[in-house]
Amino acid sequence: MPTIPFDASRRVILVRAIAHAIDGRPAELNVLVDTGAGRTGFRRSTLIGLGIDVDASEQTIRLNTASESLTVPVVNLPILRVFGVDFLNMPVLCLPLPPTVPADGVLGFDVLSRFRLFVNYKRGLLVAEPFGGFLRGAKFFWQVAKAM
Amino acid sequence: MEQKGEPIEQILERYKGQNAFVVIEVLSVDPKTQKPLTGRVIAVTPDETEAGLAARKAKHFLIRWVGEVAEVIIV
Repeated sequence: MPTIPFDASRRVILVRAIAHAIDGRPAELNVLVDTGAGRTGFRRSTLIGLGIDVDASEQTIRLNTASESLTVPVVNLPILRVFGVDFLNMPVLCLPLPPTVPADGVLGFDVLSRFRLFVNYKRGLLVAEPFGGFLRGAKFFWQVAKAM
Repeated sequence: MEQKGEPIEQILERYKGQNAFVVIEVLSVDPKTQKPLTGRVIAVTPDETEAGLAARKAKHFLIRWVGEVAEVIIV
């Protein structure tokens, strides 16, 4: 899934992702591609829906955002599929996103750094190819050329 | 593919403006893109925890906010 269209008129890059519960149940997610975020995180409703007990999490992290500092739970997400790649047992944050934010979560550096990325904001196209090997690199540059 | 439930866009349009989370069980997906096509409503609630707990009853789910949407986002 190397080239993903997005609606540039929304002024954010929203893409589709799929998370799986321990029992395999999938959840359809709209997530923000946020190159300014260090960690990936999801809404409380999403994590609870996946069967994760957010309030029982023993691990928390001090999160510093552009506007505030807060402590949030860290939980393990059994499977997260982003741009066609599966991330297993991934530690993610439970983010207190306001309801008015049109996303189920945020993709941060921990996920995005596994990919070569190219964004054409004018056309609303994101090219994402996981690192690994000459062929993947060649495929990425071919997709970028098409997305220019 | 057998079409079950109601188109998801249609469901969201029906609840638009209610300032709530709509929890939908996905009943069919596009065979090529795997994107959800149809579903049924499990819950409509402004409470995130309630929405999450309701979603646990579904085999395949999505949760969408159907109220006001922020234009500018700082995370």
